[in-house]
Amino acid sequence: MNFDIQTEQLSSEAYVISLSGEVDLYTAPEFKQQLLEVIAQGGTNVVVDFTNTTFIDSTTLGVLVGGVKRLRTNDGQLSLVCSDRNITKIFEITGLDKVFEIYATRDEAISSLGVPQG
Amino acid sequence: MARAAVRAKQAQAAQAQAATKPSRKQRKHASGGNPNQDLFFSRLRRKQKWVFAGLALVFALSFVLLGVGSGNGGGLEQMIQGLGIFGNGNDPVGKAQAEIKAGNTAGYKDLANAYVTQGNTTLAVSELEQYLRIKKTDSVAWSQLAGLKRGQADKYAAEYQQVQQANQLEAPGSIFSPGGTLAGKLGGTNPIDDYYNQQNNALLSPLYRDATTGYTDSLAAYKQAAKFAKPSEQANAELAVYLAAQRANQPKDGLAALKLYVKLDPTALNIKQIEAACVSLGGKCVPKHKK
Repeated sequence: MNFDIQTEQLSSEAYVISLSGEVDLYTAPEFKQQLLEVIAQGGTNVVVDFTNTTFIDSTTLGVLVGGVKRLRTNDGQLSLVCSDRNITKIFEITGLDKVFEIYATRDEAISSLGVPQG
Repeated sequence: MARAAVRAKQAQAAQAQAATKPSRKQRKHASGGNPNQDLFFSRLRRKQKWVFAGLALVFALSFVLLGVGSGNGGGLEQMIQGLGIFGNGNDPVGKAQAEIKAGNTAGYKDLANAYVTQGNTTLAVSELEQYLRIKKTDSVAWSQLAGLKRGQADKYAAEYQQVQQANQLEAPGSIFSPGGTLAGKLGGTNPIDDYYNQQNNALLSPLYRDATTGYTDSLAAYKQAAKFAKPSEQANAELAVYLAAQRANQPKDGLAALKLYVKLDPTALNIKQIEAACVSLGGKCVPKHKK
């Protein structure tokens, strides 16, 4: 599956970034840029949706950690949507499953933000 | 009289022939050509069979040698690109090859990236390895190589699982068959199961070997990437080594990477979990500020 990135604004502060395909050394810079743009636009509650992602590597983890650090300074939060066992395992073995809120579905993640869903 | 009769007959015959002859318009071939003028190859086939056979052989050989119709991008395509007849245009492979010809080492990396875009991992790996023989300290290139090797290993591992599942479906008896003394008393195993087991094991062994080698090679490349990483990226590079070590089932390398990770980023958000991971690997990683 080819890499793709979609950003959806749910409210003035809430955004969902959906990633498809492999997020690795080649594609992670695009993800990083998108995440930084969202934060620069005032996004404080950001959901990164990995539902259609087939692989992530340490570069992706680095982008997520960098993002959560920035968001925390603005009293924000970064949540993840992930149901793929191979991807959740990467978060588990690096201990990052305790750093991010990980939800099985996009709806659950959005509900946690308290944003009304359309 | 006889002569006059012959002439009259000849005249009649000539008139009859003229009457049966089609007009100039009618004589035209359906495609507009003259039917009396055979096509070059048809005439050649009838009149100069040996020339025709020779030409057919030349065409056949050139099609095989140039890979016409094979669609693999080789042969004729590469020859045209190599000659630069139509220029390299937007073809990244051609551009990168031109860079290499011009003596630019980065061309190997560009060529590898072009092959990655085309989905040709084997060629991409080969070009990156070539690049890294010259630029040994390019951390990003080492990471790229590691990622490609990991991708190849993942593919072999997935194929291994598929064959294993097929084995269970084709020879289900082997799962339930008893082993040891009981098996001997029961008279051995099912020959049908044995047949499928042998067939699939012949496929499994190379897949297992390729997957294992791929993960080990990936780990080695990630280690090189960490060795030459910029200071700001070293912690993350060690995390990559740890993940690769987990895949390659190399706990010692994993522990060594985590120790460095803790040293490089003692205030990491996941530091507690990393400390716990070190303990599970049989070691201890204590951040400097805790000592």
